[in-house]
Amino acid sequence: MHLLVMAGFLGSGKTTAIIGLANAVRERDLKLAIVVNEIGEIGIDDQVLKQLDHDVWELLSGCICCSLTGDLLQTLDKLDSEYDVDLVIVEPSGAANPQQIIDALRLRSGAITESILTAVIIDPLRINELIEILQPLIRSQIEIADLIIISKADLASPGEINKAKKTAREFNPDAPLIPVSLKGPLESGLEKELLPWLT
Amino acid sequence: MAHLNLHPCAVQMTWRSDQQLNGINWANSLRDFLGDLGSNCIAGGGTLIGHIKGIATLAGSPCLQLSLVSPDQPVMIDGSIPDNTNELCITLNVLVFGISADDLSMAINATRKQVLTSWKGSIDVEILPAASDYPLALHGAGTGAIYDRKT
Repeated sequence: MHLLVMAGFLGSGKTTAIIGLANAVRERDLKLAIVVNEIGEIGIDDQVLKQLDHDVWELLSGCICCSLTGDLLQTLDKLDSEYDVDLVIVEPSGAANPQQIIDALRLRSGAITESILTAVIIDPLRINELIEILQPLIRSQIEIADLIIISKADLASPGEINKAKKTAREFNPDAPLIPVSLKGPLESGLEKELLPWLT
Repeated sequence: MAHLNLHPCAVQMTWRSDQQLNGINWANSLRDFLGDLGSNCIAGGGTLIGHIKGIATLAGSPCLQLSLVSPDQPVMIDGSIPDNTNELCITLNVLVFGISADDLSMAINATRKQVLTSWKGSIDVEILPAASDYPLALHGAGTGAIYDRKT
């Protein structure tokens, strides 16, 4: 079982990216489960994903990087042992610290710890504002990423995208960095990075 | 980090129109509501919009998604509302940093009143504050409830 943690601040485009990837995974006849952790009393993302007929597991009323870490591990164990899925996409809340999630995942034994990929999505339209206000959180999300996705490439100017790239590179010099619009089917740049890892 | 405290808030709304509207008019009205709500949250003391996102459902089926991340950015809309619709349910998750739960409720109610000045119909609003705050430094301490909602 492969595990993809799709991190990124609130509103960066995580759910939209997951929809594109999930549809691409389904086209390849791979079995997918999505674990969504949202802040708030009512889940919105899970409704959107379920509408598209994806298998969604929802963790509410807490954060999987701290108060719900145990619930996340329990859910993954269940998916691993009972549902025989090929890929689990974990969507942490936008305020989660993915480092804490990865630490918890690496501490447990089992097949999934062999194949974890962490992607972070950056919104180029407001990365600089977020860095100014929330640097520790945003920095930790970027630092841990194996893959950096710059969303909203259709809305941002080339200057804004370059600025976002520069900011990302300050905190993570090595991870592949892909600007995408995230609208419609999975874009080729993202497909090239993600799908070979799955197969 | 008091200015970054987060009081997550869900809002359930029922919008009824006195006339059957086309999908574009519905989308425009909802876009206006979300835009005004974002501005009112900041005017009410919010320091940063985390995300105001919503979903509109028609007869129980989601038909439109709404998203706002900044008062300086446009409301993003995905999906469509069928023409000749006269009632919609809207669920919003309002995640704004720095605004108190009371001020957030006031911003939501003020937005409703603002939109009602031009909306021909009714808008019922139920505000569901989170059971606990979401202090960013602690990443929340929720109930730990796990919801197995496999479809």
